Amino acid sequence: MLPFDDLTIGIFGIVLLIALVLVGVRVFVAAALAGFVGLVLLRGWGPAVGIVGTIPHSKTVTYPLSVLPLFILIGFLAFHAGFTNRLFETARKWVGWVPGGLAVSTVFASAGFAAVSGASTATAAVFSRVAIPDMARHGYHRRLIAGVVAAGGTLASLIPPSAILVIYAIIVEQSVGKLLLAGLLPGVVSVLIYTVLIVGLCKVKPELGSSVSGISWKERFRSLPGALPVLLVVGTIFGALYTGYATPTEAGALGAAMIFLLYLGRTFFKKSFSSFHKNIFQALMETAKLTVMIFTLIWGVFVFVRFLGYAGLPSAFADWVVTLNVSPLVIMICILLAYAVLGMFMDAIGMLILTLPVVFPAVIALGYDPIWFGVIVVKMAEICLITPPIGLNCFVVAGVSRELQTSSGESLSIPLQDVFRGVGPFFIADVVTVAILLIFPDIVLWLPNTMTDF
Amino acid sequence: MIQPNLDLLGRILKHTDRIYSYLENATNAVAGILVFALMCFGGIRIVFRIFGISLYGFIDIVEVSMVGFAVLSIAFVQRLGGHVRMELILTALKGRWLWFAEFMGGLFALFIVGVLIPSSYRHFQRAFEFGDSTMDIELVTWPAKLVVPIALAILFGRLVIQTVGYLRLLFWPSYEPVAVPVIQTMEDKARSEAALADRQPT
Amino acid sequence: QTQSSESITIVDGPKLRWDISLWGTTRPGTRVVDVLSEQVKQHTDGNWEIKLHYGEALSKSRENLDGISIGAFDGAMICNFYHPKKNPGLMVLSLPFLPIDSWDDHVKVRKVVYGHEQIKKEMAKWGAQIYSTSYLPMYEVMGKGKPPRTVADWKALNVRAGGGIGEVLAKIGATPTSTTATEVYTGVQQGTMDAAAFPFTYAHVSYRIHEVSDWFTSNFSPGTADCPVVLSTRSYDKLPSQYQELLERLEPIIAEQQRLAYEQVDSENLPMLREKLTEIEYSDQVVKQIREDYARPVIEEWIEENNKSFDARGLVQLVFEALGHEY
Ligand code: NA
Ligand code: NA
Repeated sequence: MLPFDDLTIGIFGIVLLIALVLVGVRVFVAAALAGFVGLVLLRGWGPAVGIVGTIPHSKTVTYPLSVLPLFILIGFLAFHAGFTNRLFETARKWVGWVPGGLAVSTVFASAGFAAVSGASTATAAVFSRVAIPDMARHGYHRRLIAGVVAAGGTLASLIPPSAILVIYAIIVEQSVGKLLLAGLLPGVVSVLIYTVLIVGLCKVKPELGSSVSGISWKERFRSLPGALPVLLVVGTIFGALYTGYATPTEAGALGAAMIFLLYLGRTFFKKSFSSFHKNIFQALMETAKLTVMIFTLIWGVFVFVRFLGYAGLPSAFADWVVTLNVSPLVIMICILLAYAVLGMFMDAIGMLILTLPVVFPAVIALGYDPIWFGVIVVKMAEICLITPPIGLNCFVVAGVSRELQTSSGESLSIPLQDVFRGVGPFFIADVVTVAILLIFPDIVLWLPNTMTDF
Repeated sequence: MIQPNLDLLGRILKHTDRIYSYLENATNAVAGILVFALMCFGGIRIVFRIFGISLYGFIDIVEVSMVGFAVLSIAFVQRLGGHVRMELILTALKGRWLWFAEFMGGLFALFIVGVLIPSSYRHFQRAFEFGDSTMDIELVTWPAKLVVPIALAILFGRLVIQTVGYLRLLFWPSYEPVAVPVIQTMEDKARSEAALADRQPT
Repeated sequence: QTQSSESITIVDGPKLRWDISLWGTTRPGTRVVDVLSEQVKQHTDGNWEIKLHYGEALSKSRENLDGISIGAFDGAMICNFYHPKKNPGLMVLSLPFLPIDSWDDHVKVRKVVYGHEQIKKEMAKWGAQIYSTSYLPMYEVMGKGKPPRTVADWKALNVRAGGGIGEVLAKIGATPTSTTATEVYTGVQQGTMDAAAFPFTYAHVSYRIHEVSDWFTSNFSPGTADCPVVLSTRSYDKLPSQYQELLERLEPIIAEQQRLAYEQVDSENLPMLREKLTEIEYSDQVVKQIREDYARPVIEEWIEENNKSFDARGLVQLVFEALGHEY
């Protein structure tokens, strides 16, 4: 027997994990290795070897997780099928008349695309291409352009379908369907707050961005069919989930199949067969790659989680947090700040999977709602995408803009520091959103709660 | 394709890397096809349900087949350097120090994957010898469990190639990197996202 | 409160910790392990701690036997139907429409099954042995819409039921469907299924099926399943003899507590169900007819399938005999 108690070994394991992750060992290797070493210390070599061997299979092969590749596929298919440009056109015609109209349109179109895409950086990349040239042509300020595209991208993980919300649901064993629905209203709130921000900024300083005028109602209605495919798919996924007619996996399959068929139909209509199979193949390969990456992360970290379970650390941490003589709100704010700091350096999914096993039991012990916390944590992870030093969406916008030109050949490049300055106001808007969700948790919980109670 | 000016080890690595890639590409293609099949199967299930027909055993079939996209192509992502990690310190390292860190990372991975292969194989063996099945339509689970040690063995091979690659660079830091994923700087990452957006048809 | 403290005799022994792997949270069906842990602690003056790990913290529920086999923990709860091929013989308790009519029947039938060579053998493969069981109650069916008052009425129904129960329902003309237990609520509510079979009454109520249902059967008794507590033989053999004796002595006390737990939920649930829903009762004649005409062929099929690997017919006969029936 070792002269250490379980908790000491548990803390040793966490320190080992942090050290390995810091020096750049792949997270799944670091977590599995630290977990294995810990299990050897707690249970001996034989049982430890036996335990780790069951996890890659048993922790990945569970039906609820099968929704992940489908949600990822929806995004890639929607992207390859080219739904985005027309979404922006429609948004421009309907909301372009407000001050800063094109920027507001970008937010709305990003939200629309978010409803068929689960990936924030992809959304930012796509809309950089679509919206930056247009806004630049209308004389919008570079920083506003960059800020709105980078921030708009973050809506993808909040508005369902969202891979990251599914992962949260699986780790903490909550209803996937409820979490997906819970993300919707906070997503809408984010859109509204961004809109208020843009309109306010452009009202005070009209030189930041103008409005689009002279669009007739006829034109507006004529632009609607362009957005129809996305609306149709979104409506179907939502309807199926909300009424409980389909499981998330089935809803994901249906959504992906619809986009696939719409794309197929368009291909026949335009007779553009050459690119079709190439694009489908591309979408499937990208989906497979991202899927196995996420699954690997999940089982790797679950090796570590199993070790934590033996060490009894999550429950000990939860007990400790509850005995602290501080109000739950203060602890929650500390947790959110910790996520903000961690998110500066880590990828959102990795951050969630690594921290939740310890943080979640404590949050629940404090009396917070598990569904509500999921949405808050995902919003925090999204904010991290637009904060320095590592804000992936900002890198993407700066990177894409470098390759853009006006029709007269003038570069549209936006330097990284300008992008970060541009997202500043949006960062503040996001903090306001989180505060609103803290004060009015019903914004998150209302929709999922009506789901079962009508 | 293979530059004649590479050292012997470099040439061997480059060759092995290329041949090995075919295997990994195949695993990823299988995964992609399975996702597509899942999409079709799930869609069909809902259409059937509308007509009041229930597909018995859907969950069992999904659970047995999903190992194909959950685990099988793990080596493919390792080759591309796609498994999540924190590169904060690595990007600050140069030359020998960088290759040393990468080499050590490779050794850690080899160790834990080396533990996982026999132990996940024994997980398969239990299901195979003692029996195991899904709940509803009693599909045997051992084929799915066997995929795990196979996928990890392919990953082990890839890790050996990469670790030797890092070792070569540790000894001769001036040589051209071969058969190892090079760290993408944030600029590269942004550029690959941009390339993705480029393929967007208009 | 499980036993008056006067009657507790303290067993002397070494300090020891056992880990038990469980899923979900504590519930009426886990009273057996909750009491085991409490009683052992009391009787050893805290020297022997049996730690309960709920929520699949140590293993996925369907891999609990694997966990015992590799020495990951000292005991676990398992359910036979989670992995039919891991425990082919134990599936005898999941055969449809077994004539189990009382608590005593539940006890008797388990006694002969657990004592049977085949069951001991198939547990021994995993390095496990059965200690006690949750004595899962008989299933009943609860659903929405037109209640099945006659055998013919079942034809129109989409029922969530697995294994042998599903097969008998299919023979009667119903359509068995499979979903996870947590999906049944929305399934019945949305009409993607009409009814579901669950251990009665506690599972129906804990999955809130009654909130979306119109009727329930109370003596259809289509069958049950078995969720025993298994111990690692390696861990058990390492116990000092006084601890082994203690386990044996505690078993009847634990079983009694398990019975009380079900009785208590039933006394809360049954009046509520009777008030809100239509209770469907079948005449002895009908129940007998279903057992003879529909269930027997399914049992025969099971015997056919398994007779090549063990004496399945003998096991079935033994079960019926213990229940005072002839097969
Ligand atoms: Na989304
Ligand atoms: Na950041």
